[in-house]
This record gives sequence, C-alpha cells and structure tokens, in this order.
Amino acid sequence: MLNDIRATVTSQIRDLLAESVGEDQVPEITGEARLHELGLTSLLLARLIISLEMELGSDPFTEGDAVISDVRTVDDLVAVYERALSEPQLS
Amino acid sequence: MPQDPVIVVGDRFEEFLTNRGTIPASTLIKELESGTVEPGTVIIVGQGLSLAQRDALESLVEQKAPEIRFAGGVMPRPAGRDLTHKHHLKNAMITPPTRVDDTRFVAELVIDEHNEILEDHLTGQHIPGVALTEAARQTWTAVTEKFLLDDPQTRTRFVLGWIRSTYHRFVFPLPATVEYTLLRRESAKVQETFECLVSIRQNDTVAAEIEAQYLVIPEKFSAKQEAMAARATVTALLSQQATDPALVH
Repeated sequence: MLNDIRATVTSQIRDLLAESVGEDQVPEITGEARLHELGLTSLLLARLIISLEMELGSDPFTEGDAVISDVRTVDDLVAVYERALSEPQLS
Repeated sequence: MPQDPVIVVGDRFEEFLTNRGTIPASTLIKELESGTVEPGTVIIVGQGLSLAQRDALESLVEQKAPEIRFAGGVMPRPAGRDLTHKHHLKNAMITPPTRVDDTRFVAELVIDEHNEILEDHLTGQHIPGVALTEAARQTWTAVTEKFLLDDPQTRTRFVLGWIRSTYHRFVFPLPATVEYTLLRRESAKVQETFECLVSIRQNDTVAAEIEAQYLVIPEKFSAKQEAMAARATVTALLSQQATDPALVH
C-alpha cells in the first residue's frame, strides 16, 4: 500500500509536469526533490491535490490537518498521504 | 426648431450640476412628465442616474419621440452579472462591450446613482479614480467572458496579477467610453494569462489608462489553491502567536 502511494504521487507529479514542459523535459523525481524546484506552483499543487484525491480517495489538506506550507519535498507529500491513509476511518 | 441639448446627470453630483447645460435627473423627469421640455430637445445621458430613473426617462422619451430623443438614440444600460461579476446591477459600471476587432473592444461608462464606490466617496465634481479602476476591472472581465474564453461553460475565477493606473485628466459625470486592448495572452494547463490596456475616454481624449495582468483559472483549482493558502496562513499566524504572545499584528 505504501509503495502504491509513493508510486501514485510520483506518477501524478510526472504527468502534471509533462503537460507543462513535455514528456522528455520532465526532471528526475526523487524523494528529496523540492516541489517548488520541480516547477510545481501553488496552482499546480492545487491541481495535483485534486488529482490525488481522485486516485487515492483522500484529501489530507481539507479532510485532515495537513498544511501545504509544511510540504516541501516529494517525500513530505508522500508522508502526508501515508499518514492520512493509515489512520483508522471513522464510521 | 432645434433646441440646445441638455445633459442629464444624477442628482448626487450637486456641484457639477452648477454647470450650464446640465440638469438633475429628477428635475428632467418632472419636466418631461409635465410636458415642459421643448420639442427638438436632445438629451445627453451623463452619469449618476439610478436604474429607476433610466427606466422613467426611457419611457417618457419614447412617448415623446421623435420630438425629443436621446443623443446616440438609446439610453445606455449596465451589463449584467454574468459579464461584470457584480451581484447588484447598481454596481455595474459599463454597458455590454462590443467588438472593434480581434484585440479591441469598447463599452460605455454607466455609473449608477447608488454605485457602491460613489456612495461613500464623492469629492468635487469628478468621478473618483478608484471608480475608474473598478470600471476597468469590469471591462476586462466582461470582454474576456464575452469574447475571449475558449470554453465559456467551465466555471472560472478571475485573479488579478498586477495593475497600473495612470490618470491624465478628470473624468466628469458625462458620457465616456472604456476601451479594452488585448496586449498579450498565454495559455497553460491550469490558467490563461491576459495582459490588457483599458483606456477611459471622454470627449475623444484619453483621461485614464489602466494596464493589468489577470489570470482566468478553472474554479475548482483556484478554490483549492486559495483554501490551502488560507489554512497555511492561519496556521502560521496561530503558531507565531503561540511563540510570542506579546506580538501585535
């Protein structure tokens, strides 16, 4: 499951950047890569969060306590979703 | 027999109404109703009329046509909410724009007696500069909504990037036009960026120029961006206050 989350987040980032700069211009997306340096503006991040909600069924930035200013790297973003998806669902 | 034209202006422009050739809207309505306006009179519609006064004048002039008529033939009417993004019609400041060519569009300035900006700020005889800036905003919004959006069905938000205003001369409560010139347009996946020049003309002279950059963003992306930014700002403030309770903002 955790590998799926990382793969989904990385894949969504890659798709988003590919739309903007072209498939062959997308930089390597490592865990340490800083979102801003990858080219993710606040508006692109908003779009990413919406896409991730559709893929993963969760929006930690609305349903949870996650704050976007605490998310600097790809690893930070993956960790937010891992925490959100590992928390027990309230019935 | 040709009569001197009269310029009808909203009653709130008391100081301006001391100029010869002008008449308060309420007075003109009474004179038309009592039949004391001379046949052959041309009415120039200035600024500051309420919607009710526009309705009344339009009806009265129609009854007395063709002896009495409006300059330009019609009573200017404000554009609707779908174009100006103003909820209340009294706060709309332009007529629906028309196309001159692919990059130029024009509307007439139409300022209501109860316009939100004028209700709390009217000094002297002229239209305040900030009101002209708002008229410019409404113009670029209306032009974009009506002529420039590729997909008018998608709900969007307009977000201001930057704005520069220059006021060359007074704009008085007389007829004026607002001209939009598209300077640059750039499309990206999550937004369209526009840069424009809005020129306000009165008596064929440019009185004010407002340059602006604005973004048109699908509403769901813009709303999410804003919500995340709002949460981040609130969190930062609360954290700052917790760290330093003596902090004054």
